[in-house]
Amino acid sequence: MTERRGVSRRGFLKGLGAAAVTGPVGFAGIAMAAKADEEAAAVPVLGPGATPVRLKVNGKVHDLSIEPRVTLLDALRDTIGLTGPKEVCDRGACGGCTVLLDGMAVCGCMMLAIDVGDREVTTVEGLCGPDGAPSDLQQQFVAKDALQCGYCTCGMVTAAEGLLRSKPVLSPDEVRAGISGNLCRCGTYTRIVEAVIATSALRRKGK
Amino acid sequence: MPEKRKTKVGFAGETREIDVTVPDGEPQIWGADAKLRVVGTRVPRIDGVAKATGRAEYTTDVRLKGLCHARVFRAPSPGGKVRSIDVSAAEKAPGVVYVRVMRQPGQPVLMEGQDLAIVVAETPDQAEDAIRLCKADIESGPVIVDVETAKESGSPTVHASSDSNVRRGGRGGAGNADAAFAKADEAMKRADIVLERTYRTQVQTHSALEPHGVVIRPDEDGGVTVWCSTQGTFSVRDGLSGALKIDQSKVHAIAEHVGGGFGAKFGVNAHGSSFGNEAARAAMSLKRPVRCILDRREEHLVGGNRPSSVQQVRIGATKAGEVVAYTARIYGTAGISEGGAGASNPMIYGLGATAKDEFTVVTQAGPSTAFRAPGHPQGSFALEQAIDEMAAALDTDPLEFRLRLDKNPVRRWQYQEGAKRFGWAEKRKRANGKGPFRRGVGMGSAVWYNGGGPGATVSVTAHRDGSVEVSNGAQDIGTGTRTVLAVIVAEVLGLDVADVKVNLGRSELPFGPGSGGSTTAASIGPCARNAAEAARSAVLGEAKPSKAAWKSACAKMEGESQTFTGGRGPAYERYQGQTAGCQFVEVEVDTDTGVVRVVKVLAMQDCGRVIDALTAESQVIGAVIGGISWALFEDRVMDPKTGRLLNGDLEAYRIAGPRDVPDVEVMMTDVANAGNSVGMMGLGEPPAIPTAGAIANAIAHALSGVGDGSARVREAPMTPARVIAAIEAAERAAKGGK
Amino acid sequence: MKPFSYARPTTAADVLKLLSPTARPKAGGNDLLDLAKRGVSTPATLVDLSRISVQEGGPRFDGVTVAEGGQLEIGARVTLAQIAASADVLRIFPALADAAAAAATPQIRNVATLGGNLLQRPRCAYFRDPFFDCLKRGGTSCPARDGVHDEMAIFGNAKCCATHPSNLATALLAAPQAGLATITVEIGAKGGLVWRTVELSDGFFVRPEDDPLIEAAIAPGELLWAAFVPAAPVSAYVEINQKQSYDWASVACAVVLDVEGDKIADARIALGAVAPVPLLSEPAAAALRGKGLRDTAAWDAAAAAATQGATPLARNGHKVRQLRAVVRRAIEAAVARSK
Ligand SMILES: Cc1cc2nc3c(=O)[nH]c(=O)nc-3n(C[C@H](O)[C@H](O)[C@H](O)COP(=O)(O)OP(=O)(O)OC[C@H]3O[C@@H](n4cnc5c(N)ncnc54)[C@H](O)[C@@H]3O)c2cc1C
Ligand code: FES
Ligand code: FES
Repeated sequence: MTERRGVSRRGFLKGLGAAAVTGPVGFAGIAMAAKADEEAAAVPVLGPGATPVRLKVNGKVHDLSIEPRVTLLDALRDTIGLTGPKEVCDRGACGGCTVLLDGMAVCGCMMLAIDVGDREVTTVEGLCGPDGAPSDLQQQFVAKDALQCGYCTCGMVTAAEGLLRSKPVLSPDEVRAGISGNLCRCGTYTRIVEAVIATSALRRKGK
Repeated sequence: MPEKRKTKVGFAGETREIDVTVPDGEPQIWGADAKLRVVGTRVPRIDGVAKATGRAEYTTDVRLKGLCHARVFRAPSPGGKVRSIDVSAAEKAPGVVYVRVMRQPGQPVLMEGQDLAIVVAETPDQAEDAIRLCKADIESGPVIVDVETAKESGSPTVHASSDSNVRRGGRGGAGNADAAFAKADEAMKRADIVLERTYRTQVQTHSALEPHGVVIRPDEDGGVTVWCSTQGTFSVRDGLSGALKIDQSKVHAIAEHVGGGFGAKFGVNAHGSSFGNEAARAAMSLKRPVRCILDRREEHLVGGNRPSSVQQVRIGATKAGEVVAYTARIYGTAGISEGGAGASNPMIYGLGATAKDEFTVVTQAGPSTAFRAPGHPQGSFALEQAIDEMAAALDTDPLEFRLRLDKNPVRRWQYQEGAKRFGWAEKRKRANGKGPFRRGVGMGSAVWYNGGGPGATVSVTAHRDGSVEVSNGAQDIGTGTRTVLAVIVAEVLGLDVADVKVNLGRSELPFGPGSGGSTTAASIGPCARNAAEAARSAVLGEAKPSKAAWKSACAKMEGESQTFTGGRGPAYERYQGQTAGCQFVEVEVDTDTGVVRVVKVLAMQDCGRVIDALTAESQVIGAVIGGISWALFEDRVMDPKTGRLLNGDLEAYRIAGPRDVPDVEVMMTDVANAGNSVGMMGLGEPPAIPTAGAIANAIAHALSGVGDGSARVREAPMTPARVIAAIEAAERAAKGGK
Repeated sequence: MKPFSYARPTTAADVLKLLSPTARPKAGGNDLLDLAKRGVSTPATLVDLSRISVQEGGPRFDGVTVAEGGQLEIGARVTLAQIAASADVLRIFPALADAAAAAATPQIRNVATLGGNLLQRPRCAYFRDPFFDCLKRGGTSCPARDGVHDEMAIFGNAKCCATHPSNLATALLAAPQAGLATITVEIGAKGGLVWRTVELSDGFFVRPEDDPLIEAAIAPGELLWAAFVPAAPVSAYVEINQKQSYDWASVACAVVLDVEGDKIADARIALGAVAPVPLLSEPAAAALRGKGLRDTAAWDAAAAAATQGATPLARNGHKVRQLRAVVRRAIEAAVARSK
């Protein structure tokens, strides 16, 4: 990183012209600066060693002691013992580690556990009924044979669940787009699309 | 005395009666007229719920008390000899419990990823931190990753012991290549048209989503329990027994669920790394369980791969359309391994005199290993294109041409039925568009020879309460083996599939084969039937099998449970000693951007007797999707200057995703094949063979209206860059340029 | 990843006080974690941006707002998924919604932010592997130029041929007078906050010739706060990918048209994934000015003009043809949004 460019080069307050920037920029900035100065409280810096992290996962609260660098995926798999989400690429490129965060699909491998905060984490295990019974979507994955070796399946099911929650009615193309962050090496895509569409239809009929 | 029994064999297009010598104790074969209740229906896989709910435990999921974590320190690039490996800082790092150097001073570093040392620590992060503290001092050496330069005489060699990187003879050896070429050259003289073409395919890594990995726990009796992501439970047992010098009986290998293998997972190690043996030594010395799982980059580096190929093909035909000769000189790289970089193209078609000469070019890259139909997709990529190019030269429809060259009754039927269903004739004729988006269709064929073999045993245990367990030590790598066994046993005993529990993937169970050559199901499926038949006659006697009959008979059984075993012998007489398949593909080529989309695939496939239509179709769909991925996207890329892998991930190493594949339609051709008591043949590999060649042909058809019509992409992956190069050459040719 | 510590300030001022070359602001974290996992960057501290409470009245760190005059204000913390789905973005500057929707995967879009997307580092394989001696990491030359560069730059690639990775950057550059607001802490005793606004097309993106170590003119102690986009409803962003599931763009183009009647009064055409920075193509824009909206010959001329001056390397000539196609298609898509 260099200091020599950027700020120094163009000057601090180069205007954009009336069309682009509105008055409030300056005002808000000044107001905020004043306010910020008053409350110059020390910001706690956590880690790099283990630090307390609270996670809400599948309706249960877990108090962990982990380093800030621990990803949500590693916390789930190694510390909590929920091994449904899988580590496959470790770079956000395969969706094998997909979990829901307040119902929204995210990659567990690209998120720090410490970043989760109050948000509710749902893993594939948490999609099952209270007695561990498979959900309608999980049943459709089985019925349509939308799984072979099964290693991508947990991520696929979870991504598909996130998709169905955000958009209950879907075309096959929308399903493909919606799970396009997930890879399957065995080649189950065709049947996953069928399983998701079938679940969507079942849910519309009220099960 | 084995008896001869008349059996009806064949398929929808043809049945006939043959005499079959059934070995003693084996039941009558399920012939073409067998009335089956469960076999051949669509049965959801019985471990589906476990997999869809996250309960299925894979090797990577195994968590044990006191578990420690191993990582391998690997060479950053190929180089000269090791001067020294310094692990002193790693040894002192927090949490580290074990370090061992795996490569000694003076030993060469052949490739990036070569094992240098293993580090075991209390947590995965500590192991990784310690790896960063390891230092290797390695002499510099030449970089040899480019096949073309590596094969030149005078090129520096990868293996110091030899003076060339080229090894003649691939699968099957050089054998009589010279004589065969002489004969083919002679036959070629009769040809009116001779085409000489070069086709190229790339290195593909297996990239199973579950990486290679082991969890090894020393047991109190001096043995070990090993969880391993493997295609061969027993190969793991045998490998560790050898490495640790302990009895096979004391090594318990477990492969309950396996996240894909595709050929790369045999034994306890990866093809390019002995991490499994090292982890086992560490576990024994620490007296603690050790876990070692490869990461994605390691998978690409040392996990095995499909070798590349350069195939110089000559095909000659008479004006009348008779192919008189086909020859191929093939070279490719299998990385540091010294054999088997060839391409297999068994003679699906009658091509007159054929000859093949194979060379492996050794380079500084991870060793290749078997990959779903080893050699075949490569050979098919060349063969199917050569057939189409010759068909074009003869002004013949490619399907007509194949019908002329192919005598196999099943495939001939598949060509005709498939063509109707696919709309081949119309699609082939149809003007394929004027705008940038051009459609085209193409096809390709497959043959496979495996129908399993003897050696395995399956046990069927009847419990007093009527429940049934089927056991075999082999693994299910996603192919549906578990379900196939349940279906067969349910059929015999008159039960529902849900009534049958299947135990797989444990070396304490009766022996089962590794998942290779598409032999697993066909090897143990008949054993399951034979064991179940033994159970039926012992428990049910002559009573008609049904749930109720079974339950009441079990209640009256002697003892708490009874176990029956079944094996199988070598294949006996059968309808045919091979399986047939063909695929029709439609593509859309964006001629402005070179982007190819596969819009439709119809796969016709025979696997002998279909046991579970649902999972069988899934195998075919998966193979086709793998074929699309290889044809269009996958390519292991190495930096030519340093020999370092440039795309050791799942992002720049592109694998087809949900939007890159069409709905794949599958028509299983159910062939009552005899040969074993069930009539099964292998399925996992053959449908992986024809896809890429068929896509190449479809692309050529799509581009037939572009420029002078000559555009064809003869190199996989058929990337936008290569498609554009072909288009621009055809455009230049049309303008009269070169 | 190497261990790092983690700070969770709740005000912008506290964030800014913490920032330094080794204490980096963390938004969605997608690029930061990728670089850290590969060992390319080893931040000592990550400063979480997710808890900064947002001030009333000022430009917002969160959310999409429509300001007086109809322009968009998009907070740096807004996610790509939110941008892609925002009715306001779709109405006022649809090119940006296109660009966000085409980026990355659904899971990543749910987390990745506008700020992080604009400030992410290049995806060049040589840059992302500490093994290589790469100009962008203080090395002496560009190994990609003589190596594997099939997907790399065809313009401005003399020193370094990594392409700029950001979809949003290409789209924003096409909007006339699109700007960014940033804040820093004043250097000196008091430590008050200082605002800066910068027009995107005015030196925000840094070419390797000017400084190979960075891609954006933002100081280590500066926070990107929001983007301002004047209304540009006749706009579109199109990219070409080898793989359709998710893939980095091979080439990309954003087009903004100023339409009067059935004429193109003015045009701005930004090219992405073809140079180390997103580029404005003046020749392409010129070919459209004054032309009929549906004058396809003018579209073709603009598409051809966009490739003027390209300097493809040994292995990426195909991108020139692709660029022509993507410009043509982006114009067509923008025209389809007129009236
Ligand atoms: C599989 C995959 C595919 C992808 N495909 C695409 C694609 O096709 N097109 C595309 O454009 N992108 C793509 N991306 C990249 C992705 O969009 C970016 O990684 C993401 O937008 C970064 O946003 P973030 O919020 O996660 O950033 P972070 O990782 O949190 O931050 C990135 C950088 O910006 C800095 N930063 C973030 N916010 C601020 C701020 N407010 N002020 C100052 N500095 C800040 C950080 O310090 C860091 O240096 C892909 C990513 C993945 C993993
Ligand atoms: S493991 Fe997280 S996306 Fe691949
Ligand atoms: S089922 Fe094996 S990876 Fe998807």
